[in-house]
Amino acid sequence: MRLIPDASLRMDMPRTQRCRHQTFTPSIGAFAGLTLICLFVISGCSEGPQGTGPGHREQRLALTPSQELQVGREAYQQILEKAPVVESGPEVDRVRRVSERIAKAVQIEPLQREINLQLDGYEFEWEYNVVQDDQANAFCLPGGKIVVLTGLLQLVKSDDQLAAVIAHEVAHALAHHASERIARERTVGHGLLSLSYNRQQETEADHIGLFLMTFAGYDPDEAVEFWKEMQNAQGGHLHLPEIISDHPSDNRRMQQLQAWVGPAKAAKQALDEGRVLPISRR
Amino acid sequence: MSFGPLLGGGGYYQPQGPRGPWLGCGCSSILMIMAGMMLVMSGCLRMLGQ
Repeated sequence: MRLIPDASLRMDMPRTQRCRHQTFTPSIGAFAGLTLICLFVISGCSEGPQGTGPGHREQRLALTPSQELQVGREAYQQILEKAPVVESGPEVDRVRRVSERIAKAVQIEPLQREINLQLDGYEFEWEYNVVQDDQANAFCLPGGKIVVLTGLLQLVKSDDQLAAVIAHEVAHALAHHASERIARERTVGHGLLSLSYNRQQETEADHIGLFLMTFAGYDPDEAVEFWKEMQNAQGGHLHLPEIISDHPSDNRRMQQLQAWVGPAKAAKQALDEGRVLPISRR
Repeated sequence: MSFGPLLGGGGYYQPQGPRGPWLGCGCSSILMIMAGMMLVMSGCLRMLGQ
């Protein structure tokens, strides 16, 4: 009720008096501007993250390049000694054909720079094996030791879908996720925080893997299609809520993959057209 | 013909945060805090000016 008379009073004020309420002096403006600039500098927002991990995120590793290779070699040997390895046949040929294309894509230097993969000093002794097991799974150990279970080969409908899974697993090795987990577990241990980090690694492997498969000449849309089929196949089963799971939910995974398909294709097109940032301009 | 960033500079991979693509970098929250500070500051200066 009091607003009306006050407003009318203000309108009745002489112009000079009204201006006193609405104008900052130049020194006040300069002070405000300086504060603004200082805040920008302090926040470092314009610079963005400049860590050594993928996408320039901060990353702490526990293992040296030679230790990482040694861990991969030993674990692979132990697994293959006990597992029923499929020695030859069309399944083995298929896995080797797809894996070799993914491994070749890893060598594309502008792609390494695009993702900020730290591969200097790291040795990859690529090996590909198929193990007889009904589980739909695959993994890649540090140093490039890949295992694909036959259950996965029955599930994938094309080489593109197989490439999506293998590229995801290879991405874990390229991003040194095993070494990072060891470093993290020394500090934060296991628990919800650890699960959250594991989900982040899975998401990162999805992101890197999608770029890898695209640069290997496979269709990234098939990665999304594969996860849709996986979700449908698991239809009636109980899923853990994302917060207590070490993997992102299927829905989130599909949304993120879908969002990255366009940039991955555009990046591949940039390579094909020779639109590559010279190393000296980094 | 299509144009975009040059490959190798991170313009395609585009992580959005210090831990990768799953978190925002916090720019929007910093701007909100700054806007709040500016409002408070301008209010104080207005009072001083009266």
